[in-house]
Amino acid sequence: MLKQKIFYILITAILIYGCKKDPNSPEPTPTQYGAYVLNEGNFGQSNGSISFFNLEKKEIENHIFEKVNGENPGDVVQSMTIIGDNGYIVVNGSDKIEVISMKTWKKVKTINSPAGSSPRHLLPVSETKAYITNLYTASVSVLNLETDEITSSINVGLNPDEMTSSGNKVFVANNGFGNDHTVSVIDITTDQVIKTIDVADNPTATFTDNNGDIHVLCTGRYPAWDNPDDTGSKGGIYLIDASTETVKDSLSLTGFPTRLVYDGETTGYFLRCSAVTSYSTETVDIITDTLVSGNFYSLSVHPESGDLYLFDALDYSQNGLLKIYSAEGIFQDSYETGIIPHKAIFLLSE
Amino acid sequence: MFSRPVTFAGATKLNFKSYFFPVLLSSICGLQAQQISIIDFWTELPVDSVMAVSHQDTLFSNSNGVVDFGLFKIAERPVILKKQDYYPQTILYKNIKNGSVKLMPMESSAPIDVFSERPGNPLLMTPTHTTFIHASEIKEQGFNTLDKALAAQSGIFIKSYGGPGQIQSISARGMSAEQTQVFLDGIPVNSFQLGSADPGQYNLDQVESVEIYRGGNPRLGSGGTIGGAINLHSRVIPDTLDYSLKLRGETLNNQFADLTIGLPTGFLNHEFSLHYENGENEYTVKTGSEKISLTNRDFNNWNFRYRSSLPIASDLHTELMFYTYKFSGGSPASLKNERTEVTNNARISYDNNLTALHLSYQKQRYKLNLRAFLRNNWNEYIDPDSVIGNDIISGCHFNHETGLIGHGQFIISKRFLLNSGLEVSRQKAQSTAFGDKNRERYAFFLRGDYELPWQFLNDCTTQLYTGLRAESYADFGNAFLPGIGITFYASFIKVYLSGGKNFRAPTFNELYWQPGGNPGLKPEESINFEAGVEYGRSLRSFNFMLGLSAYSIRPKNQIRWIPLTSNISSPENILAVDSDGIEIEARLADVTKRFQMIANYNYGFAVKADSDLPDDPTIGKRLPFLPEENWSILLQTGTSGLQCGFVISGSSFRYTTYSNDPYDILPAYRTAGCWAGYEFTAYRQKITVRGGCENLFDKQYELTPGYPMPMRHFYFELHVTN
Repeated sequence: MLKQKIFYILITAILIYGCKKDPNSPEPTPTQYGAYVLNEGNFGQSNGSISFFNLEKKEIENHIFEKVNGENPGDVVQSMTIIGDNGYIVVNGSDKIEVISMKTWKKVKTINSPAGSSPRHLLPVSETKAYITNLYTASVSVLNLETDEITSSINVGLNPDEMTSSGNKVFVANNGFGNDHTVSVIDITTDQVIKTIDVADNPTATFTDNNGDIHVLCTGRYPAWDNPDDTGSKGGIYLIDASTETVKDSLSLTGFPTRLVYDGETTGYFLRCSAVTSYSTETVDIITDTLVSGNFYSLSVHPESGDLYLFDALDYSQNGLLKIYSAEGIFQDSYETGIIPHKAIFLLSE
Repeated sequence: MFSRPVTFAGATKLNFKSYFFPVLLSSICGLQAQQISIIDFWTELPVDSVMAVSHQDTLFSNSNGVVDFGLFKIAERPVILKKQDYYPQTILYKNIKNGSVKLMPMESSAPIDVFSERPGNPLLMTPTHTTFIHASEIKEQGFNTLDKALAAQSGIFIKSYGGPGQIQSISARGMSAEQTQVFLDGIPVNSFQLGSADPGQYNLDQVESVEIYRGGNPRLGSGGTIGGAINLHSRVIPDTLDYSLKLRGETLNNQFADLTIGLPTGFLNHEFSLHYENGENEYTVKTGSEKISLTNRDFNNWNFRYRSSLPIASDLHTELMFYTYKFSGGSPASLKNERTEVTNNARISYDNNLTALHLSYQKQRYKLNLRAFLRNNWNEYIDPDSVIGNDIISGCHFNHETGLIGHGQFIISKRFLLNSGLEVSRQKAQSTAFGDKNRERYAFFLRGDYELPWQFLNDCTTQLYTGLRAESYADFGNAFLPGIGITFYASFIKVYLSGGKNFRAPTFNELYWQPGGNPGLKPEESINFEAGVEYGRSLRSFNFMLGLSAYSIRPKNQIRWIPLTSNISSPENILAVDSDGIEIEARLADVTKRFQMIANYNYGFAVKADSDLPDDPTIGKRLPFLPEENWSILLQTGTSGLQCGFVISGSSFRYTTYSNDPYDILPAYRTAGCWAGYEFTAYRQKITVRGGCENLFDKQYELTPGYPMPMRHFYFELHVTN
């Protein structure tokens, strides 16, 4: 009987003890002003997240969306645009835009993007209208901000990515994953493409400078793996005159540059060859080739201090790091974020 | 429960390369004389001088254990077999399987306590935690697929992408699927491009038994047994006309059918086996506040297997196998929401086949096995909704391997058994990801089992085991893998201790995938240690067994994909892991198996041991996707044809990243199932009807992020056999 008792004790122990309990952590107290760090998460795994960096306390709180709303934002947290009191979080792989209150971080609404559209970026173009680029449908959706409904779609180039506005025009970078080399120009009033501008291969990132001109970063095309003679193509920065919709200056770049941010004055930054490079937005010339060296995934710039927020995705499967450098390239501090951090959206007190 | 050491029992199958060869051989064999081969029950070695009395004839087995009855008509007559120190046995010639009879030695009966286990299992008696499960036991326990039966074993983890027909992989002891080798009748079936094997591709009705070797083993290597090896044995080809027809339907709108026919023709026995399954995997899950009907989980596959066996002579045996597996179905993206399910249209298809010939030659003091095999794996993936530039995402891969595996077993002395083997193969892959690549592989192993001549205690045995395996790959050099162990057997207890080195060869994807593949990769290496104890006693009409093993695995040079740039990663020999754990198995059953309880539990702790990036913050963190604990409890009871069972299993939560972020986890789960069946005879046919429920408590859980397992569903099964 002893053996049977041992057996029953073992079974009972397993059933009662069960398994180690799931970990958890308490809900945070929302703080409106600060930097919202977007963590893409791994494609297909729905582990994107949003971190909040308290600029005063120099503290970071990860997974704020899950902690407040009890669910994950979705697959690839691609971008976030603050319009009024709301934040529009574009969740690329989940084909949706989550709208949260910036005061409470609570989810206000979910805007469903067309199935398979893979939305990338949202840009308000008027008080009642915003555009959303759709990576896989070669189109830009028109969003009615009053009803939060998508009302129409504008055909653009292949795999449209970032966009920026100037006057009543929006300039859309069509990356084509290296197979496109154009910028589509959309008239905001008619929602029509009025021009397509040629740039270098793989235009991915854009911004509008203080002069109202458009800066477009082209990564260039990567070499084809099955053709050893193919060296790919050069990228570059293209300066487009928004009024004439023509390229008025350019800077050819090797090393497949990526990302493009603007300090709001006269300096732009991008990543190339494991370094942060700065350039003059006035002359489109390199200022410092290696301002900060390191294998960063992406970067943002604080609109007031000019500090560089550099994102290290480490091995792309573990939590990444936010590394803050001064505008002069001096390291200040480092914070753990979510998986594949890539952008900081700043909401500063007035 | 604990037999005396049986070093190697070659219940291996016979294979060949051509469809037509068996037909040719059958015409030759019609003239064969009637012979039986008599072998020792435990050692499976030939027994000479056995007296065989049939009618008025008295014959003796020769030095190869063969009794030749010539052309006498003895099929219906009893044959009495006698030899000193063996229990006498009476048999009917027509009932002899594969022409051999096992005689039970008297001396071995004293310390043996049989716990309703099938004795003489073809286990390598390695000093490691090994499990042998017979297919009939699997079915008795209520499992209707191989993967479910394997998932219930301690130390074994199945990663599944959903319900039936979806991609799965199997791993052992906290190691990866690439570090766990699966064999079909001794032939490695892991993909050398991906490294893993899908247990869902093997049908339970075509398997006679499953051997699970946790930890390394120098005999079973073949590219990666750091975690363990799983050997699937095909059933013995029947030498009488038999058939088996099984139909199963699930409320997930899935249907399954199996037909197996055994067809003896002269001395050549054939087996034809056809398995077909088709389904939709219709189930609804919740994500956030949405209830979603999953899409693109459909599957359509069939496999056909032809086997034939031929005893060319009493000591020479051949077997041929041709196996083909075809699959087409959805390759679903991970679940996000209802809209993404609309564009969840990626498809995948496989076309795999294996042709193998097995020659077995056995003499009194040695046994030789030679397997020649050829396998082709083709697969294609296409996602019409993912457009990059102007092209949709797609990929096509073809793997081809030819090989020879020779194993020998030699009795050097009464206490010393030597096993050795030589393996040669050529692997070739054609892929849209890296073009054409090929490599050659050579392996050699030696293994000695030595029984110590003295006894520490009365009625006990101590066996030493030493082994060495050498692997050589044309594209990255050699690996030498020694192993050593000791096993102590007493009447009701077995204690073992072992250690050794193991390795895993880089896959073709790791070496050549473009962009990022690294042709300079070295094999992964590991050091394994294990200690265990097994205890078994009978108590009145109940048998009790308890097994406990503790292991430690220290792999180094593990391959991990490390980012080179923001969009290109490359594999490096950079990861080091410390994996420790314990496995507990307990079984309580009455001798007739009217009542049976089986409990398995394992606790494993696999952590990252070294940095693979500067200032790596994840050192000491748990490896993702591996639960710390998992367990299963199975209850089964029944009487006179009526059987029922209940199984409950569970797992602790799993981190999904190396950061061990509490928000990136797969939660803990418990799932249960129950079944009932009734077996009866009608029109001289054995008919079994069975019905059951899986995921009884309708719990939503995932084994892979974004791929919920089926919710509660029911199945019904009809099995007819002669």
